[in-house]
Amino acid sequence: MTTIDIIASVALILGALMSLLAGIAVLRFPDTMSRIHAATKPQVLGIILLMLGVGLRIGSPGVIGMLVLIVILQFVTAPVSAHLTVRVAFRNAKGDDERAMEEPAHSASDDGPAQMAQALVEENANKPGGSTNDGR
Amino acid sequence: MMVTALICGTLFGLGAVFAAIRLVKGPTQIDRAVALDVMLAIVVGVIVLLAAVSGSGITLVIAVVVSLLGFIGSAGLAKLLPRDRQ
Repeated sequence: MTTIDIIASVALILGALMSLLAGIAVLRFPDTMSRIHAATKPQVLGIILLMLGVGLRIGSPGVIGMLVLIVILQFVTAPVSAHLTVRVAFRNAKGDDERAMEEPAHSASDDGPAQMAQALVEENANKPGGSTNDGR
Repeated sequence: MMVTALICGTLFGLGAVFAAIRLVKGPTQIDRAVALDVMLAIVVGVIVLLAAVSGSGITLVIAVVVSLLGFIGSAGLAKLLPRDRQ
């Protein structure tokens, strides 16, 4: 049990703990968006910690290349899939509960979070116009 | 290393059980998709842990494939889920 093994074990346990925290959060959080927020944590940070543990334990270059490949794939795909999921949740939250944010009435085009926030501010500032929102 | 494997396996198992409970009783379909995403991340973690315990990196190929399939499944669910409930 060398020092490298101990560091690898700590990294593996922290990565597994991240998965447990995501499970608890997905079970316990009250809202869909907060559940999505918590569910994205093990997909990036937990995977990085696990890959660190495996890379410290197995030192061969082929294995490390594959670990870096997995980390890069998770970095690219996890925010994209979370964004797609939360967009559907945002559009459905209007009919679900009252305290959810209302979709801006004039956002017929597909827009990012900055434009979404600006549209919310504009909607709160002045009275919303005619409903041109009929889905894409 | 076996102690580490036992601890990590317990944590992964508990997380998967909690996500499965949310998968069963989620109010909306998006909650079920999110719980399935968490379970898929746990599957990738278990495969990586198996590689760490066995000392050979041959199972990491499966982890690459599972993570790509997770992205495709999540994006497809987000695209194909019914949007109404109003």
